Formats: sequence, structure tokens, C-alpha cells
Amino acid sequence: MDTFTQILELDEDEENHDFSQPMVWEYFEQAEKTFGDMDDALKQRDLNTLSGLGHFLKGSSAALGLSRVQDSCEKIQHLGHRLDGSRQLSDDEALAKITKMVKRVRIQYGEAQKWLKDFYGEVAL
Amino acid sequence: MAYNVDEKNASTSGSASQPALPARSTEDPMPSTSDFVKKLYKMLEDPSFQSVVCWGPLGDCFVVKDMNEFTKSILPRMFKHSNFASFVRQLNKYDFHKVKNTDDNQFGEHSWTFRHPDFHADRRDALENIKRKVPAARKYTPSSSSNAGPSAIAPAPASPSPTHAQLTAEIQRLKDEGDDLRGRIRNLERNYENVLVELVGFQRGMAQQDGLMQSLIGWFLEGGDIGSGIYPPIQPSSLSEPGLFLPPQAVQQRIGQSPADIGRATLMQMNELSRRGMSAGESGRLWSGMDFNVGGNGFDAGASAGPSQEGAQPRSRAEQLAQIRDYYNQRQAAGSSSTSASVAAAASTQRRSSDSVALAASRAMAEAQVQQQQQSPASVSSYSTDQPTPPQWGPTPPFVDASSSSSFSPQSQGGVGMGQYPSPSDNDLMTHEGLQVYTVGHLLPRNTYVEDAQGNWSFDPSALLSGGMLGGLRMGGQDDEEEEVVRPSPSIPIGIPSSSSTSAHQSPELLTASTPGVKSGGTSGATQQKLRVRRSTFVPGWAVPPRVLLVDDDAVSRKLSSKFLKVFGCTTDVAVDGIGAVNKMNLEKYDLVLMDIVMPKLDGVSATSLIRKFDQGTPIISMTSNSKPNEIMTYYSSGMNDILPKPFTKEGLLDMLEKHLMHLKVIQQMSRLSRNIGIPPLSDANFEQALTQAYNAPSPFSFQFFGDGDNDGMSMNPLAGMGLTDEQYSTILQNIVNGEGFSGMMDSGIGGMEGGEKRGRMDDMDDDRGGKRSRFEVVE
Repeated sequence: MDTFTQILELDEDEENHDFSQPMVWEYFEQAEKTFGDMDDALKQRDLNTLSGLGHFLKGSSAALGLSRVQDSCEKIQHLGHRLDGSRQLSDDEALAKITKMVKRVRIQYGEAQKWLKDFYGEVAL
Repeated sequence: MAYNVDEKNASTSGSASQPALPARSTEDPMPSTSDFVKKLYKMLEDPSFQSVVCWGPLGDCFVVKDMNEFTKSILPRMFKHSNFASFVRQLNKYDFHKVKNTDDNQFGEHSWTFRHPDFHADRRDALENIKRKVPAARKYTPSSSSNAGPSAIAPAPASPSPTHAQLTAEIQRLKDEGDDLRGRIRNLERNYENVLVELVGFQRGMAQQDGLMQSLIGWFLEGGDIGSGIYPPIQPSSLSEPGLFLPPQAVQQRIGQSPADIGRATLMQMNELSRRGMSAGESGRLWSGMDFNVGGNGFDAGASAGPSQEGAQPRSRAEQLAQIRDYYNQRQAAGSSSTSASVAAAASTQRRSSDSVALAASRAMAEAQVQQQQQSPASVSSYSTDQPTPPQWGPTPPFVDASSSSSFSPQSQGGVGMGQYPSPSDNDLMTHEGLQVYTVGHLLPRNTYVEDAQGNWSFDPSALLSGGMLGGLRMGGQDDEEEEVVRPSPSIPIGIPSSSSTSAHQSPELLTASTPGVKSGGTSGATQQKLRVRRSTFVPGWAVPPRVLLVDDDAVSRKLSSKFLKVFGCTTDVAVDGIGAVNKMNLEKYDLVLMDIVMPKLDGVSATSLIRKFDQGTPIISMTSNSKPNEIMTYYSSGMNDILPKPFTKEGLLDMLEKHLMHLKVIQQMSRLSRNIGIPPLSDANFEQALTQAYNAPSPFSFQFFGDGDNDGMSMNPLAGMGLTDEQYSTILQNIVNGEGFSGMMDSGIGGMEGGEKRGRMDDMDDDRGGKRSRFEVVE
């Protein structure tokens, strides 16, 4: 939340959110594209790509301070390396876990998106 | 050196050996010769001693071949003691001198050779001329005891077994060294005190200037409504400040010397005036008057009054463009020869200056204005003294501001002898000092917006594009160029951060200083002319805006980071992957690179390795969320300089910037000092003293810029751009210190030049103050 507050401070117009809102919207776009990519990668059982996508979404979520999405993405990143904590996974295990985790991230992302859209009031769209 | 010093080490040991002489001297054929000399001669005649001590090859000196053997066997027999040092002392007393061992010494390096002009193997009769020196003779030898120690002993370390005397002498030598060191420390302490005095002087100067600025701006705010007709009242108040500004005729003189300088001054004002002209022309209001005042001509005696601007605009652009190009070229010529402390800064400066010229060119500027400035000393003096103001309050967008002011910087030292030590950013720094506003707020006439957006050329291109496009449609509310509108009433709390000094740039109240007024979007059509106060940037006092290359594939992070960077006053360029980063690094020079690690095409580590193959210097900071120790090792080994863990905070980024762009701030601090050095006396004895010391002593602040002293002073003579030589500059400084006017100094300075005296000012960096003083006398 602190991170997000700091972003809001960068808005010069406190009512328009001239800076932060476009950025958040961009995040939405980017995240949804990433989810699509994740689905593709899951189909192709491409763990490395999944890891990379997890890292990517982790980065942008972290930038906005969406820490739950960030955490889940980090897990995907590690699972993509077939690691669960310190446990080595088989590809199948990893894929199964990632599939679960991607669903979870989607839910968390949905929450975050709703919150953000509420925050910005959706009007400006 | 070694052999003319020994003589001073007189002691009583010589006389102690004398009582032994009478027994032998009875049969001596040399009655009037002193016993010691007789014994010496005898000793040398004695064939049994030949292996140890003998005449030199030419018979004009004698050689102690083996000091140990000599001390052990001969000294006790001949001189009744076994102290070689005493023997040497006694020899010295009789004016024998040790002959320095030469490389080809046939008796080996441990031999001692002594010589006396009257001591010859075949000139027995001359021996009586060898007399013991009168003790008083010591007085004539300068620095006797202090020098005696070291050199008397110089050969000692080489001798295989040091005797007691040698050790004593060694101790003596160390003592002398200690004294010497103590003396140096005292010297340093004295210098340090001087520096402290200087600093106090600077602070005083700063405070005074702040006060002046404050009152000026206060006046502008009050008088802004009435418009531009009210220049005269300012002038008395500003010029009444004792000695802060140049006598007009001096300025006139100096201006007359250098067309390039005029060009500079002109261009500087052009930016301000033309904008003012624009806004004045487009709106009936006289807000421009205020811009003008604040922007740079506050002290103007009215020579270039606001109203004339309104007529200025219609002039042909091509004509003005050519003119400006001309000036620009001149400036470049002048600027290129002056060494800049930071090459990078200079490079970026030039880039930006070209931009600012283009910008200036795009605005109308009357030729008459130029003429006016050439003829009007007052306006020129205002140019130089006012420089602190425009960038804060001038009607320009932040980056145009920065560029326009920095583009003058290589020559800005020319301004009124401010800035004793040139720095490429002198001018720009002044910018940040007078008020300590640090480009926080910008008064911006609404209608100039589109041009302003163009001025942001070096900024994030996407932001620029959108800003430009939107700017055409609606004046306010661009996505990252948002501004607030403040009604221009006399009571505007524009938030002049009065005398807040060094901490000002960090203080939050500056950010909020601009009172949120009417929202811009809704009132863009309002009839009343408005001023926008931007608060989008807050610069931590960079000398020049650092150019940062931001490499990130994540659009959100990229946007956020570039926003932060913008707020911190950096100009940002972006690359979306490693390949883009490498290409950009190849094409441009950046002050800093912020590099994401995980990126498509080419990751940050590989990109860094590639960049390091052709660029060793630019700091590359990795932004990453993967900061495990082994990963960090990889980053560093690829050539990265630091790690900025993601997600980073504003503070984290700022710390990183300040850490790696220290040099850009240091320059600022340097010239902050130097600017004050150049200020004419504040009728304060201490301050004058400090100035004198600052100039005469190789001040610590100056080292950085002195480089090698003989390059015609370009590196340290801020007036070089005006065609002044070192001597003239020295004289100017000296005259400032002496409280004399500028008028006399020019004559003498020119005289110095005609005399062909071209000497590097810093030939000798040692503490030879007297030497430097005397040089002024020569010049004057």
C-alpha cells in the first residue's frame, strides 16, 4: 500500500490521477496479456517461459505494490524452475502447481483490479 | 651540498685531541701550521697507513678508504680517540669538505674523501693557510643547525656499522624532520582556518543574496498586476546593494571585448524575452511583465522594457534564426576551448544547447533587442546577475530551462567575474542557488505550451508525443505534464522558499509551495490569463540534468521509474530490452544506466557485459527483484556498479542517483563556492581577507580545476571567454579584493597583455604566496 501511496503522490492532479491511472491501466493490459501467455505456456508445458512470465508479472505488480499478486507470481517463477521452496519437482508436479497458482493469481489480480478501478472511479475511462 | 654543510657541526672534540700534539710538533718542519693539519699530513705520509687512508689520485684531497679500519687503528694512534664523527667535525672546523662520492669512485662507496683548497700532497707550505675557523663564522651560514643534521649523516646509513655519533646524528635528523613536519602541519592548520573564514564569508554572501532575491520577488509579486511599466523602482533597491553588481561602464568595457559574450547574453535573454513576447502578444494582459522581471531582467533600467516585446514577434523567423545560429556558433567556439571539468556534462550541454537554440529560434526575437543589449550596460549586467532567477521562475518548462541555462554555462563564467573557478555548469548552478528553488515550480504562460512540449525533446518520447498532441487539443491535463493554475493575484502564495538554504531542495514544502488553484482542465477557456505552477519536478540540485538510460521491458515499471527520474530532475531515455540498451549506449552518452535483468532478447547481465566492452565508465545499476547473493555476484561480475532491488522506492532511487551522480552535485557545490568568491567586496574586512586568502592560497576548492597550469589559464580563468588573459583576470580579482572598481583594472590588465606576459597562473603550486603577490605588483 505504501508503494501505491507513493505512486499517487506522483500525481500532480489529485483528482485526475493523471499519472497513476494510465499507468495502472497499462498494468491491467499487460497483466491480462501475460495471463494469456501463461495459458499458452501451460498448454505447451513450457516451464521456463512460465517462470519468465511469472517474473515479469511479479515485477510490474510489485511496482504498483500489489503484494499478493506479486507473491503468487514469484511462486510461479520458482515453480517454473521446478522448485517448491527447496524441494525439487518433476515437470508434471510443477505444471500442476503452476496451473493452480495461475488460477490463484487471476483471482488475486481480479481483486486488485476491482479495487483499483473502484479507486479511480472508472469514470475517467 | 653534502660537503658544505658538515663544517657547521662544530664541537669541542677537535680541541680535545689537540693537547696530544706538542710532543710530535717539536721536530715538525711546519712550525706555523696547526697541529691537527700537521698530524693529518703526517698520517698521509705514513706508508703503513696507505691501505686505509691516502692521498687522492691528484694529491688535492685525501681518502679514508675504510672508515672502520681508520676508526679502529689510526684514529686512536694519531688523534687519541676513536670517534670518526669527531674526526669529521674537526676536519670541518678546519674547512675541509667532504667530497661527495661519485659513481665511479675508485675507493668504493664506503670511502670518505676530504678536500681543502690548501691541502695538497706536494704543497707543504700551503698547510699553514689552513686555520681553524672562527666560531663566529657560523653566523654567516644560513640555516646552520637545522640542515646540518641530515646531510652530515647522509652517508651514514650506507656504512656497515653505525657509530654512536652517527646514531646521534640520525636522531638529530629525525628531530629536524619532525620540526619540519610540525611546521607543515601549522601551515595546513593555517590554511584550514582560512578556509573556514572563507566559508563564513560565502554564507554571508549567500544570505545577502537570498535576502535581495526575496525582496525582489516580493516586489514582483506585489507589482505584477500593474505590469511592466515599473522597472525603475527596482533598480535603486537592487543597485543600492553595496557592490553586488558591476559598475556599468566596466560591463560595457568587457562586453565590448567579446562578441561571443554578447551573443551569450543575448541568447540568454532571448529565451526569456521571446517567451514573454509571445505571451504578451497573445494575451492582452501584462503578465508577461512579471515573467520578464522575474525571468531575467529585474535589474534592467528599462532599456529593454516589456512593451517592446509585443512588437517583436512579427519579425521574420528566418532572419532571427540565422542570427541566433550565429551567436550559437560563437558560443560554441568559445565554449569548446574552455576545458570543462566534466566531459560528459559538456557533451550533454552541447546537445541541449543546440536544442535550446532551436527553441529560441522558433520564437520571434527582435534584432533591435540585440542591439539594445549591446548598448545597454544595465541590461547586460542584469543578465549576469540575474541568472539565478530565470530557471526557477522563467516561463519555461523545466527541461527547456535546464537546457537553455546549461547551454550558456561554458561561457557563463564571463559574467561579471562571478565564479572564480569555471565549471561547465556554473550558470546552471547559479540557477539553483539564489533562491534555492530548484526548479520546483514554473510559471508558465498557458499558450506557450505546445512549444514547451517540443522543448522536452530529450524526455521520454512517449510522454513528449502525448504531451504535444494533447497540448494542441486542450491546454491542461496532459498525462504527465499536468499543471496547476494559479490566479495571478498579488497575494499568490507562489511559495518562494525564502532563505531556506541548502536543505531547500529536499524540503517537502517546496513541493506543495504552489498553491493548488483552479483546476486546469475546466478553466482552459477562461478569459483571465493564468500562470501555471508546475510541481512536477524537484531537482536534487544537479549541476546539469543527469541523463539516465532506463532499460526495462515492463511498461509499468518503466513508466514509474521514468516518472521518478523526472521528478528527480533527470532526463530519461528508455530502452525496452538489452539490445536496445546496447544500441543506445553506443549512440549516446548517459550519466547513468538503470538496467532491468530479466528481459527478452538480451538480458541485463549480457547487455552490461556488452556495454562494458566499449564503455567502462558509465555507472550501470541493475534493477532486479532477484537479489540472491549468487545472482548479485553475477551482476557485479558482468560490470554492474550497483544493485537497486525491485520494487524500489522513491528514496531508494534517489539515494542511488545521488550516490552515482555525485560528480554532478559536486560540481554544483564547487561553483557555489566559486560564485561567491567572485562577488565584489561586501565592505567587510573579514570577507575581503577571506577573498584574498582564497585567491592567494591555492585554495582547496580550486584544485579540481587547475589541471596543468600552463594551458593559458583556460581551465581556470573564467573570463577567458571574454578574451581576458590570466594577468587581466588576476588583476581583476586582485582589484576586487582591494575594493577598487573595475575601470582601472581593465587598463592595467590590457597593459599586462601587451607586455606579453603570459604566465601560467599556477606554475608553482607550492605555498609561495609571496611569489604570487609579487606577480600582481608586476602586472599592476
